Amino acid sequence: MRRVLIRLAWFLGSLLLASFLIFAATNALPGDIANFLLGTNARPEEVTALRERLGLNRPFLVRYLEWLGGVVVGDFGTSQITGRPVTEMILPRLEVSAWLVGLATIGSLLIALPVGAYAALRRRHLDGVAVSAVSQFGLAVPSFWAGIWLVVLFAVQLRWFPAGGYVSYWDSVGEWALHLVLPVGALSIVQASVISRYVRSAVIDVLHTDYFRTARAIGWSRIGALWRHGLRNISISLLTVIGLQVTTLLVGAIIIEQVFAIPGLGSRLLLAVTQRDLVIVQGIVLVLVWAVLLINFLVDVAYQFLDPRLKRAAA
Amino acid sequence: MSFLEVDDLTVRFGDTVAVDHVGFAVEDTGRLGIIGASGSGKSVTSLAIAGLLSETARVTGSIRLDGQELVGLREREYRELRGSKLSMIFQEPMTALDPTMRVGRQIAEVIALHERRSGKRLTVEAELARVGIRDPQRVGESFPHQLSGGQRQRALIAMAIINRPGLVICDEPTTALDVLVQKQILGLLDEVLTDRAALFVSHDLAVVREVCRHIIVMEHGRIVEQGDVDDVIATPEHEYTARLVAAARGTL
Amino acid sequence: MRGSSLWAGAFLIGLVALTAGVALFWTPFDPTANGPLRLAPPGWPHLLGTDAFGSDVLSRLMAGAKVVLLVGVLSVVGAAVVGVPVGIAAAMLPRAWGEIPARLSDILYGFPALLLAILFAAALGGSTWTAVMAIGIATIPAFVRIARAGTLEVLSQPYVEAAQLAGLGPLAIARRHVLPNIAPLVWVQASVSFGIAILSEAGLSYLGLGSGPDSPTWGRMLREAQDHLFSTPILALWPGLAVAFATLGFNLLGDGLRDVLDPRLRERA
Repeated sequence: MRRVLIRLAWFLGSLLLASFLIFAATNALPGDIANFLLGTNARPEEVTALRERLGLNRPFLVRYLEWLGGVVVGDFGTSQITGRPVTEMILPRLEVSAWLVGLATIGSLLIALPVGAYAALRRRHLDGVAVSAVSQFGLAVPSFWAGIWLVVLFAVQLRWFPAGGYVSYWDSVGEWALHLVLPVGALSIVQASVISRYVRSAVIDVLHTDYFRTARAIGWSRIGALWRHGLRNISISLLTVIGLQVTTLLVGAIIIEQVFAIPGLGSRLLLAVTQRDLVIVQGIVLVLVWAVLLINFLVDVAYQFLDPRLKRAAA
Repeated sequence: MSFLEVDDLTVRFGDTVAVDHVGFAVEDTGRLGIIGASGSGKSVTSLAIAGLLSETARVTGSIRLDGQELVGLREREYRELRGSKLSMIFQEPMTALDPTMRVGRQIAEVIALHERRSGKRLTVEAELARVGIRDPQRVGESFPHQLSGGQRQRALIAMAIINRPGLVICDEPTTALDVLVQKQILGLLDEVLTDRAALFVSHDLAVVREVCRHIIVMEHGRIVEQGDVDDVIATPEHEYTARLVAAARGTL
Repeated sequence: MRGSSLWAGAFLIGLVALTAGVALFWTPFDPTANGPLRLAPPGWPHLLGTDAFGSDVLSRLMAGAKVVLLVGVLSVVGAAVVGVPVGIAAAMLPRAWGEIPARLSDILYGFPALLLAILFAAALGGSTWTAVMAIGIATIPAFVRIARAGTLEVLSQPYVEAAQLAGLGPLAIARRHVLPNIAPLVWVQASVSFGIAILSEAGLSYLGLGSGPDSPTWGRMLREAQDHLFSTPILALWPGLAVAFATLGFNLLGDGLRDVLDPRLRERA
């Protein structure tokens, strides 16, 4: 339990630090919002008045603590451009991005586990080497490029799926699924090439273990022994890899939202950047970074409980 | 006809010959000790009989178990034999068990795999008791790391004999254990192997003498000497055997 | 088989570097000039065709190589120059102090280059320099980690303890024993980070957060190609292939370097 508490303390500390860095980056740097809103021809007293109204002339630390205090109770402030509460804007888009990232995680595992295991079992044969080579190439492909080609193939040529856009799950499950196939596919394929390489080397390790040999000796086939005993042992460390890859996946999702015109956090963030709507920018970046930290924390804690050898120490 | 007949068995890994024209036979309640240093081909021989060599190995010759030819046997049929008709006990009881699965489930798996019904908890506990585990319920519910080396090796022995196989191959079954436990496990093996054929692979003459009367000595993939264990120790004919005996003198 | 990934990687990188080098002095056409011939298919004189503005695709690809190498070199070298000393210091300082940079870099790990670039672009406006800064800063933690882990291993060696007992100061130990020993790790990391930097740069310029409109980048070319997927999908082929092969080159080089420089890390076949 003590170990978990220490991790919790580090986690909370990193949330705090991340929030400070984000606020500092958007506020301490030049490019004042008041100047931007009023344009370059504004008279100095107008700028001063606006700064007063937006609360920009108070000390940095005070503004940071006020912002953080709001965030903690779910109030991300008010947009400087639209005048609407940022929280209201973030929530529906968070759902869209969460679908994207969550489904892509599942999709990448569904691809990576069999592909990685195949590449490991057939590593001394031409087909296994070919699978490894393809995943090596996949590592180098930007997910948005994969997305573009999925559009060319399945939306432009075959017309199986829409080329972009989004329909809410709550409006129509069928349409929702149709619109998500290509973006989730693009993210999954690229992500799977990272994970399948990891699965391959983990499976090769399993093939050399004594417990794998025991499983074979009691009558399991190689696939059966992998499924029954290998997967359990791999999954613990695989979880760590997935946790680390969440960052990559989030970044990929931001860009993929742009490719497919999906109204998620990423596309709203980019709009806010072009409008210099700093309150929205810092709000969304905070949500994304905290999500990464939260997932890594959960993976870390889950790790303590999933591995029976660590369980005793953690409990 | 003997229960296990190995004839002209040769195993190659690429250009390397790991086992070189080896032949021996074991009766249905007989025991054979295979002695040799690491790299002598004794473990490869036992893995070849179990059909567990890696796919890079090329096996020629003949292995007959209860009249059935095993060399070239289809993997699907081989799988049916492993764990039911022939079984293995390995060296490292810590790593030979799946660290993430409770021991009882691993034992139940051996039954389920071959009877197409799930191994009942009671059966598992009875089997654990059979191999001298005093607290079968707790041991069955434990993960491998929660048990002592002796308990783990007993659990592995239970897995090996649970389907009453005709042949048990013990590959250095006591090497990783400390001396006292080693003695107990050898006693247990002597008991559970009485009504079946057994191969006993070890580098340790003293250990093999505890359970086997007949031994063969391997070096560089070949059988260099065979016979009654006491005769071999008393009058080793091959100079490699002589060195083995000399090295083991303190413990014999 | 072993050396092949090193040579394949070196070949691909050499190709990109050569292209960038040539592009410094010469491209078939002005990469930013608009021409009358729009969306032309590959042929003569436009070997890879022209884009929607009539610009020569090959010339733009070549100019893009310059940007990619510039951003990659600056950000990776910058990150290494900051990250490696911090990592070494984190390992050599007393435990309580050394934990701080290590933990900080763990937290920074949660900041992908793209989010940093977005923050910078929001505050400063996007440019090649914000891209370099964002990618560079996001790359620092990788170097801190690798340098710290490598240093800890070196410090546990008996000959280093002997050197310490002989009265060698920490700076001298870092220079004489630590640096030469962790150099292979740093080279491998640099190669891998370079691959990631190329991908990041492509993503940033695809989103319009990288270099300005006047410098053609592979990401921007992909962005522009996307509007013409129905008529000329081939426009989306070249820049993507360029990104993939340049990244592949650095990944392969990293794998190859790992094999050659650090036999301990060699994975079993």
